[in-house]
Amino acid sequence: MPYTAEISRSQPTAFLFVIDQSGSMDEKMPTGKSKADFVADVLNKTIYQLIIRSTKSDGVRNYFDLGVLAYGGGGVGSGFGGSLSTSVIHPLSAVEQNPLRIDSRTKKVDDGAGGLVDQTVKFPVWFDPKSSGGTPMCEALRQVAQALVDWCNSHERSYPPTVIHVTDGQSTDGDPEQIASQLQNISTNDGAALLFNLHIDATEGSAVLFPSSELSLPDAHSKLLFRCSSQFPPHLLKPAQDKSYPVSNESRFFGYKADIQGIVDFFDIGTRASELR
Amino acid sequence: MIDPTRTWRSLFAETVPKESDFPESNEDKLRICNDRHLYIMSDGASESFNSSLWADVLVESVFAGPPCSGFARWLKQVTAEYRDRSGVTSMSWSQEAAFARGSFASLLVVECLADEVSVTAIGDTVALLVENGIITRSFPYKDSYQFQQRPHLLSTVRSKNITPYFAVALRSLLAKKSCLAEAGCKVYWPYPSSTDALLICVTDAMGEWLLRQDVGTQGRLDAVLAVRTQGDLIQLIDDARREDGMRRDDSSLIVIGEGHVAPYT
Repeated sequence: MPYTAEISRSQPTAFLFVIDQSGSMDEKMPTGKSKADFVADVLNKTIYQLIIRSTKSDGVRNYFDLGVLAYGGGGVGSGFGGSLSTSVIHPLSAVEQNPLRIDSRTKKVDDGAGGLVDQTVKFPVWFDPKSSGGTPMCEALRQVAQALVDWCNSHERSYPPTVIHVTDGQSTDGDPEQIASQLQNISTNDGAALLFNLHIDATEGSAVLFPSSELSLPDAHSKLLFRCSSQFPPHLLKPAQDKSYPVSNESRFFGYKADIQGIVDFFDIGTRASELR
Repeated sequence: MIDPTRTWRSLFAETVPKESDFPESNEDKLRICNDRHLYIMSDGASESFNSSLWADVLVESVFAGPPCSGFARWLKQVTAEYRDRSGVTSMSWSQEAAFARGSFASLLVVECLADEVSVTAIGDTVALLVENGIITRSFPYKDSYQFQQRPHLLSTVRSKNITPYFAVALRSLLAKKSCLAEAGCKVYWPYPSSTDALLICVTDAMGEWLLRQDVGTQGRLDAVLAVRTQGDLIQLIDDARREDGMRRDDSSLIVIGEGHVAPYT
């Protein structure tokens, strides 16, 4: 049965985040942040959570390999900076050791007496927001496919890699459907690579998350991204249902015009591993 | 009243790590004292900063004799000990964050008293009573499907132990029998009349496997009762993982009974 391989240090899985940094990502969301800022925050938080889940008293266990590819006016390249920018996918411990910087942020915590107090927490940053130029989506997906072929060749027994692709617009370098389809044919012995597409929008109220057919989608672009998205792997149905999404075996891991909550949920559900050992 | 010549004792106790390449990462902890008829097991949760240490702190604290009252004080004590032994001052940013997220563990305490057996269970580590070769009682779970729910585990983050479940259950942790009207995590079992009865303690992967209600139920129990060495247990677990869908996890087994119980003579 696919998507059942246990994830361990000797058999890690991979998450590859593909982020649109085109000019339109500077549009403001209701929070006042730009789409690029908000996506960067969610991505940094997601990487942080993956690291924390895998950190033990003796260090970070390499249950996951991580990569970030960004595309926009500057072309396609690693979304990581510093020493991580030299290749696409890295073991989790290398990512942990090489944030761009560690910011301090405040969060509200229980003061133990019925109130809330501000607490300063460390917030590592690996990915900075950018927004300029066009949307070379096809070239980005081609580079993803190359990285996945290499990764799957060296991890035949692993849970297959998951690609989380975030965009707010249409490809400016061609039709991505064929390359998306090829990408989903790259596989390990445990199943085909998963491609999760998230289209984001600055307005609220018109989001469609995890649809099961094209019929509920409003236009040709959304239908294209639907067809480019993988079906829900069975073990991710429950985490989505727990968040009140009415998903079924027919649902695609795709979000259209996702708002703030939709973006957060998409990353959260999409990075749930199967059996973390 | 139990016949003193029939005193129960540990007949077998072993643990097998989930990753044979990393035996040191086994997060199950066992503690046994036949003189005090006390058998303690704790299963540290995989997604924890240092559940091996937390399980060890819990087991050793119960073994040393925790208070029969003042549960909040006991919890404060054990979480403080966990913190002291964690080396907080020399942590990386990710270790600090993972430490703050906490560690989680179950706790199973079996005490063979004069006229009955006391079983205290927090989480999904289970005790099973075997009479005439079949399981007649189990606690806290009775069926394998119960292992699918999220267990209530003791946390190193004290605020995570403040839940309606713990408000009731934790007070009974090691309370005297007279205090147990409200208890949700403790039972007393009378000693079975049969002299070949056994009490088995197992962590969740084995518990789920043993409590499945299907054609394989009896065969699984028979296989467990045939285990005599750690090698036998490793073989049984390897076979069950490969052929019978046992979840890969640290797996521990304690068998308690009379010394002359047939399979163990």
